[in-house]
Amino acid sequence: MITRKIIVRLIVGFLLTACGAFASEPASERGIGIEGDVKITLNRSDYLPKALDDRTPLILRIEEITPSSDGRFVYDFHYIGFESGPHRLSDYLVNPDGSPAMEVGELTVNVMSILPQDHTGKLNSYVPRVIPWFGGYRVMMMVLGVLWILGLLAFLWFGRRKKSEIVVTEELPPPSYAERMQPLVESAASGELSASGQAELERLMTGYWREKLSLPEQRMAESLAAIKRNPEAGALLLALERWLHRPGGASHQEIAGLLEPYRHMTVAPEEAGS
Amino acid sequence: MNDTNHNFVQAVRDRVGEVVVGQDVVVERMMIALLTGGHLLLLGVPGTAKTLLVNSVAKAVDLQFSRVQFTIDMLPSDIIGSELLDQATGKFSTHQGPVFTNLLLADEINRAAPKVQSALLEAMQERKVTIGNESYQLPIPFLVIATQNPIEQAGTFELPEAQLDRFMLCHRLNYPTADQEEEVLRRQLSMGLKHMKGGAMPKTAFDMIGGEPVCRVEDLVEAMEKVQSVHVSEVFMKHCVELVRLTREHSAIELGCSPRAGLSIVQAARARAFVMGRDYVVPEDLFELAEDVVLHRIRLSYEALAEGRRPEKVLEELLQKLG
Repeated sequence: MITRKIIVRLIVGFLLTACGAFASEPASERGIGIEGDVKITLNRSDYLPKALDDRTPLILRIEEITPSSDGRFVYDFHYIGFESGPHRLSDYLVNPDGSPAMEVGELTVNVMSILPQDHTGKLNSYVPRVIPWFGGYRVMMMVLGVLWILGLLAFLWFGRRKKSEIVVTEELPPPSYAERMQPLVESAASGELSASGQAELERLMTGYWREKLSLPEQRMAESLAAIKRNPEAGALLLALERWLHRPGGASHQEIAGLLEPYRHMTVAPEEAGS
Repeated sequence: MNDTNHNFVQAVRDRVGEVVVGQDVVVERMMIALLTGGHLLLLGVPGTAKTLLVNSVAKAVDLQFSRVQFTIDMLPSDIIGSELLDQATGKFSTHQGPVFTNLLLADEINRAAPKVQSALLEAMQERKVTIGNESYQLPIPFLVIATQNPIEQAGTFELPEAQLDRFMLCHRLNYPTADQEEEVLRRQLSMGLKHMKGGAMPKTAFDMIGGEPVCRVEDLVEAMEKVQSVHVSEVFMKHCVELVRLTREHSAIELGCSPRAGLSIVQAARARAFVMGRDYVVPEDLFELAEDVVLHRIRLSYEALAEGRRPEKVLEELLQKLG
């Protein structure tokens, strides 16, 4: 069985030699591999493949039989060779009545092996080879490593920012609540602040007191309540609510009085940038 | 603000307080819903007195009250009513469903199939229902207070955003404080037994709802008129519009608020100002009500949810831009 499997791995030569009276094809040698197909013209069309057992050195199948123009028949054979050497075609074909197809003559099939004649069919054992210092894997890896280091150095060298190109850009802090409130407070004091400006002013004032009182992270409703509890902030915020939300609003004097603390507000250094 | 009207609010609160311990904010929200005719959705785990609260308020104001426990096999006709064949006369007569009331408690609304939810929400929006070929006006005032359990989701149908938008307020109930829970236990201990037809059983808080209503529907209507006269400044409206617009522009929010949210904030703020004894609204009303008005109307993006962001936190970010 092992021998068969090894032979299956061979490149099989399939040689047909026309030497019978019924065969019209001249003998020809074909390198056809493990499996292959070949066409042979025979005088009759009723040859059948012979039943084979599992020890057969060759499997031969008839794929198709077609009549040719000269009144004979072209057989398409498909073959698989398991053992090297000559195989007679008549050993693999039978007549319709089951008798051997002796009239096919001495047509033979030669299956050629590429293994040496003395090969026992055993696999060769693996013998590791010593990798040479020069040439081969080690040198290739060293070359690649050197190239990688050189590439990295080149990348760092050419990718560095030149001193002359470094521009120190100091990011300006965003305006503080006090800075943003100033123009709105001035507009309000002069009575020219629109409803949108008033809404913005109220938001900024709430934010200003939230920040000034350093209120913890909490819901806005709770922050607002905390601001209102503060004596200074609460009074100003309630006055702001009366001005902006109460029907009738507030008089010019009341508005001026409300805005007075915010007009002279100084921006503390730590406050800037908030 | 007229003291008489403020007394109306206090009287209802006191009456509810006789039965329900704590939950002042929920009572305030229910008063806001009553005074504006807006519908209220209560989200809370079982046992936080949602049904008891609605019962108490309905009895305190002398309103017609119906309760419907929503289930998966309900039909729209179970809510709005249907036409019945009178075999004696051979004619159809209309049977009006539980929706024909002043105050409807839709308990566990998310347990009903979407077609039942739709039938109710249509009634909420149009305040009329059609049975057969006839349209019927619902009683005025008409208010739906729906409850939903936020934890148990098996076998429920989540209300879609378009339907949630119909609720003016969606309030999330919290557990009572330790002191309040102790008071609940103390009250329970002193309730005693209820005797009936020779039998007896321990009384519950529902048995404590009773007595004459503290005010009539006429008082409620008068208070509603007062609410409509509460002053809303230009500046306040700008704050409301700004908040609504911010919900549409925030990167973490996929679906922002509809214009109806702005209307709801203004209406609810008016009622809250009335409840607080003011005749004008202030930003405090906006900040207090924002969570109940806005949260159920926004939907966070998939990315924001994947990052573990909570709608409450996103809303707080928006509110901090307003103050």
